[in-house]
Amino acid sequence: MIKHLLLGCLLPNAALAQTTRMESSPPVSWEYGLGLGNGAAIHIAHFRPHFMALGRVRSKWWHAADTPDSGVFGDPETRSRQVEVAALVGYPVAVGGSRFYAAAGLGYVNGSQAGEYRYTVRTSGLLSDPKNFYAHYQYQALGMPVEAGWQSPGLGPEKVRVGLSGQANFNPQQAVFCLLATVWFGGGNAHSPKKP
Amino acid sequence: MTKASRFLCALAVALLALGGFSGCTLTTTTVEPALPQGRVNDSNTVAYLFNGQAVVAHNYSDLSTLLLNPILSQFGGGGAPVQAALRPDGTLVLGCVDAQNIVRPGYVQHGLAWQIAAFRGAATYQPLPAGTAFQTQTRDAADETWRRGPVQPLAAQAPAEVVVTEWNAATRQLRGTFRLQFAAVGSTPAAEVREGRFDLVLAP
Repeated sequence: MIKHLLLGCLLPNAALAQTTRMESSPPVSWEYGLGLGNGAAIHIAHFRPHFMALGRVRSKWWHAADTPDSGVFGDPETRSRQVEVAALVGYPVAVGGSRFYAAAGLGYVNGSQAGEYRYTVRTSGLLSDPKNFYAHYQYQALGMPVEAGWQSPGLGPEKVRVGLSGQANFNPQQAVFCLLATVWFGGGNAHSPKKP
Repeated sequence: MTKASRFLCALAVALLALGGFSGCTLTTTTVEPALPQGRVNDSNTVAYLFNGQAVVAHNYSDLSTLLLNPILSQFGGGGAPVQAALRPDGTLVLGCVDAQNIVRPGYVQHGLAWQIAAFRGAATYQPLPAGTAFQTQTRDAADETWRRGPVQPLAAQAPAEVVVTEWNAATRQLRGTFRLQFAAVGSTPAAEVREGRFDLVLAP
């Protein structure tokens, strides 16, 4: 299943076909930036014509689904979170001024899951205000991060790129999926690869 | 085969190899919520760990308890979830149930009672086996009634103590700690109650 997903993440044939036309000399660059969506990420990447290395730190949080406090605005006690630190390698494809990429690697995750309900404390009054308390399950694990993304052509003199990134981490404790809007800086320092 | 194609093939092989890597767990820990310190809602409060799980019982009043308790008391029910009294013969009695908790199918309520004889203020006491017991009841998912477990007596020869750390005869404020072990009954496993604490104002 994961293998199929990964292969599906690899770039569309149309994009690859265009690459052969556009890749006359794709630049080499270090780029860095932020991502925000159903999670938040800081990323840095080194892009070469046929290779990329990507580092990311991402945090995602959500509320447990089956507690009395479930819901987007549920009690913070039911909040689950996962922080990921990951290193990935992958393949970028330039299409016009924009870029597609797919990457996979190794990641460390540190998470906390809202666990079983334990007790409630209540205030007195006609409308008592209950506060619920839960056990929490904490874990650390190694897993496989994957990422597929798109970056727009560089905008402005600094060649700032905006884009979209689909991210996942597969690990034995809690698989996490994120879709983030991204911004990348550093494209203005791109240079052509040195000829051997 | 172009350089790009070769690299793409190598990347695909690498991804397939990584696909076989399902990761590994480094550490896991279950963290209990902290037990409250002192009195919750400025009311009689008992808190403890039951087989490692946090249990808190305290008194409160809202519209439903104000309306229902007088009716329930006519039928022998109702009353405060945490009750304690010092009897004229010097026996200190405590009973508590975490009745302020949410009632949902599968949820559990914990009832605990202990007694100590010859109360003399701050000291360490052995609980009286005859007046000390533990019982759970579980909310049934099918008919939404309580399914009571057996009454579990104190385990024989297990460490059990109630420590009164503070007693003010004028305000009748009573504070202390306890640890108890209850015997298995039938299919109900033994229960260990530890890190217990109470903060009460005894009824006159």
